[in-house]
Amino acid sequence: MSDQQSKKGVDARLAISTKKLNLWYGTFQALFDVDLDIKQGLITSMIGPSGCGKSTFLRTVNRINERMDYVRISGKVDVMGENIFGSNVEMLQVRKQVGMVFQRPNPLPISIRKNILFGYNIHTGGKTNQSKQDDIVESALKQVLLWDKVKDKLDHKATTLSLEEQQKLCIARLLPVKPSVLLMDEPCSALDPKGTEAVEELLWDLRGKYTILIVTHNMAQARRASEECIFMLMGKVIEHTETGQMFLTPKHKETTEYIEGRYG
Amino acid sequence: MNTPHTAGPAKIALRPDSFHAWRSRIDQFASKIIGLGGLVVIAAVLLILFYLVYVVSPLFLPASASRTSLEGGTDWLKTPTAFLALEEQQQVAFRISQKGDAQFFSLEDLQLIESTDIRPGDQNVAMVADDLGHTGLVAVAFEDGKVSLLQNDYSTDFSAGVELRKIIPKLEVPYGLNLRELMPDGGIAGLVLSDTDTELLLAAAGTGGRVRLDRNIKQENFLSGEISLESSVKDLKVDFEIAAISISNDHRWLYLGDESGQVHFFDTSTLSEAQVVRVSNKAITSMNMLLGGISVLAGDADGTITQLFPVRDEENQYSLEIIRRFEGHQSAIRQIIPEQRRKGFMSVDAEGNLSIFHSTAGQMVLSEKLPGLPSALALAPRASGLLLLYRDGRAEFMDIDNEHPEVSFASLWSKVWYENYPEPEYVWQSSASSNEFEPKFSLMPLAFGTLKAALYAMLFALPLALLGAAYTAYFMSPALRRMVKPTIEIMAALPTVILGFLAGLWFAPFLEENLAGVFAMMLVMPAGLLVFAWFWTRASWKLKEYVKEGWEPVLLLPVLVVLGIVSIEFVGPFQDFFFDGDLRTWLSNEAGISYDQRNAMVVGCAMGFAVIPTIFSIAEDAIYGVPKSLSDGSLALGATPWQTLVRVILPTASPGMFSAVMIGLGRAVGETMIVLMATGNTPIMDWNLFEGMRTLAANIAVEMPESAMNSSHYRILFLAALVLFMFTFVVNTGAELIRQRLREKYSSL
Repeated sequence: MSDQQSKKGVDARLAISTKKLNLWYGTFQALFDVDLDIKQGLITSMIGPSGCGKSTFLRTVNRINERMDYVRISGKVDVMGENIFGSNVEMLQVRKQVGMVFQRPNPLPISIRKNILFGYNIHTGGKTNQSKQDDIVESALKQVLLWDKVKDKLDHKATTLSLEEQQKLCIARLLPVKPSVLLMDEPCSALDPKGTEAVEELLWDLRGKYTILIVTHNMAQARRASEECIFMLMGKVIEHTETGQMFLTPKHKETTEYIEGRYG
Repeated sequence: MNTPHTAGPAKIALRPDSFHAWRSRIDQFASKIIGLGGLVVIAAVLLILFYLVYVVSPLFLPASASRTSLEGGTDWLKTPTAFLALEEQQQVAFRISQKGDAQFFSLEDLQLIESTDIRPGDQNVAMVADDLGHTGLVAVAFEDGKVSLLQNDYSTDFSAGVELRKIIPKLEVPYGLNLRELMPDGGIAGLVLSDTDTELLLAAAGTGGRVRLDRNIKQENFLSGEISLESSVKDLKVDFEIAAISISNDHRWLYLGDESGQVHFFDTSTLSEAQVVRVSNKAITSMNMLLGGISVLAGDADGTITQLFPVRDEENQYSLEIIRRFEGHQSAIRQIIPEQRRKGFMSVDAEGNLSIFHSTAGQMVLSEKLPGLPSALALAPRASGLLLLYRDGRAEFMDIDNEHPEVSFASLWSKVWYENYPEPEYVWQSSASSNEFEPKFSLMPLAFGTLKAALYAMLFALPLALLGAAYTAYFMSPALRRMVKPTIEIMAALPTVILGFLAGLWFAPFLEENLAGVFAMMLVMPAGLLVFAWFWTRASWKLKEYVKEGWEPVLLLPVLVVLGIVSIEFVGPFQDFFFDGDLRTWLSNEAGISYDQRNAMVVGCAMGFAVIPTIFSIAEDAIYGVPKSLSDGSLALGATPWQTLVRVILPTASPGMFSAVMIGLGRAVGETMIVLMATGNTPIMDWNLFEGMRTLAANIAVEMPESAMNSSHYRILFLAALVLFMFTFVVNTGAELIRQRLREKYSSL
């Protein structure tokens, strides 16, 4: 499929669009001229060997990287048509649009309920009445298919849940903020096969409602659980195409070698 | 790393069995050594605890006594005894019989060493009084009311070696052989003798309410060194029968006990009755002065002994107050014998019960039933032995083991009414030049001082150390953090003696000079910091592009220095306006707050400086150790760094931060050198920021070198150490329990 979208203006169908994105950690350059257009409502997976810049790319879209003073960024990143590095853009708004799920489940050491409401309260100032809050908690947990398991222990500490449930909770707590993009950095790498399956099912469930960008080391997962696929190597985008096409007829030699498991 | 494996035949290299045996031996050895190390540490701490308890425990052991019968030629002992005394080594005793023989005899075999007839004519001895200061001088009153002065004196002959030393007694007449007319018509009922450097005083009470005071001012001839006495006699007539008479050591107050249980209080200069105090409903049967001649002890027919002394009020008027009562006897008190080195005394009642009390501790230390009523008894100067004579000529010696009568729970931890004090108070004043001094062993002022110093140090250190740790761990640029953290940790290695030295000799005078400036700094610097931060976030200077996030402290530093200098230099006009020119004078004159140069503020800053590195370092590690995934999660949800810090990082790091605070507190409580050098070491109980304190630790450092080994003072200092030990133990145990709970509550995984 052609990945040459019109460069004029902003294409409303693009969730994330980057132009000439370069990133340095000190003197080490992690991203080289990354141009990517990620379509709304799809699940896009990113594959590539360790250190190829997948996670760095995700963290840049969420602007989490900037807290380190040795990080330098050049280029342009648009999320839902807005330049996130624009001078009038607030970090809070970027992160409201772009939720992120991390490799290791990282629920906050507070109750399940408070985890769900944490982001919501930050964005609304925490002045919501009790029944509204209950509705929010219930709907978020239902969306991640966790409600039936935890509805009786909402005041238990989130860290008492199993890893799979924790990861689902980490996805659930993004939803009340109503993001349009969910970034997932190897969300299943800490889970067992059963948990992986559950999370993947959840991803299919959320497809369409959110644009999902998922980094994975698991080729099978990329193949099963995504509609488009991006292959990165040494900080550069090598190939971006439909998942099926990437795994059947890769265009580049490096892609073929990686998919066949020659390295990585 | 991306080169594909060249698969060879899988083969596990086998090592010989001896290698595995050797490796497991090393392993076992290492684990044993490590286990042993841990046990040795615990054992060392326990040993310290046990040693402290071992030294302290005699303080709380009860006194004991054992009596032995003295055998020997006792014919001469069958004559009635008027007076008995023991010399220091408890080898020779001195007796005056009613027949007028002054006799020295050895205790070992009850053989007479020397006997002198001191009767001027054929008069028998009516009464003998011992000098209040226990100089060996005695006044012997005969039946006709005449008095002569004698002194029993002892020298030691070491010619046969120290072990076989021989006590050589000698009877002397330092004020001549002449008799004094003290109670002209006889009928003497009470006699007092007091010989001081300036005056020799004799007082006698007679039947029918007669009192005579014979005061002799001493005049020393500057050529010959001879002392001549200038006598002046005063008479007093009271309208009650006098049961007992006592006089204070300064010869200012005269006490007369009557048969209805009252003590009459007279000023000797006017001989006017100042006050009557009812101490009992029964007759007063015996009275004596406690060591030092300030307190009078009055025993009544019911067996209660009451301690009284004159208390001075704000108008300089004295009034006689009942200080405390000593219960324990069931029948009339026959005799009260003060100890010669301590504020203790011994009493005997009509049924032959003997008790030992201590006045400061307010407790009975020993009670013993004697086989009969002794006709005479003499307490050794060190109060370690008692010689008892009975009417039938038997003699007994009582060994008394009573090392620490002055220590009781009450005397250590509650208010005690000390001699010459207007009311009961907590006082630590362990020693003085004179034996007659009443040691004041209240640990309260020291415990208070310890807490005060620690509190002010923590007030100074906690905000700086914890906020600094939060900033360094969470906001500061990693490169800057790598410089800042070791620098602050190096501060911990600064010897506290240097901090104490700087605090005492540089900071204390500086603070005194610039008190207003320092307080202005406390207002101006935080305010200036906020203003600067506000400008920094609003302004869009070019400079901002060069200063990356996390490097702002470098910019802030010169600003703070300038603000500090400005506060110190330009506080003058404000001081003039608000505090009439000088804050320190204003404090003492207007606010009534006294100011010491070395005060709690100096200690708070200096000791705070000493504990900051400890608290900072541990707290910083705790905050930095919070998993990055947690802060990422929070940030990714849209929380600001500040929200993340307050809602996620700090609660998660709280167990570690709590430990940091507790370790800092432990250090502040036990810190010695800084408080020793930067405070006046005055054991006062006052929260005033501008006055000093004395802490338990500093007190041990100050007084341990000067305390006699195994004395009460020495053991109480060990007790102070034990209290400190227990305090840190309790605080640390409590802290660990709280830390465990926090960890349970906020553990991240």
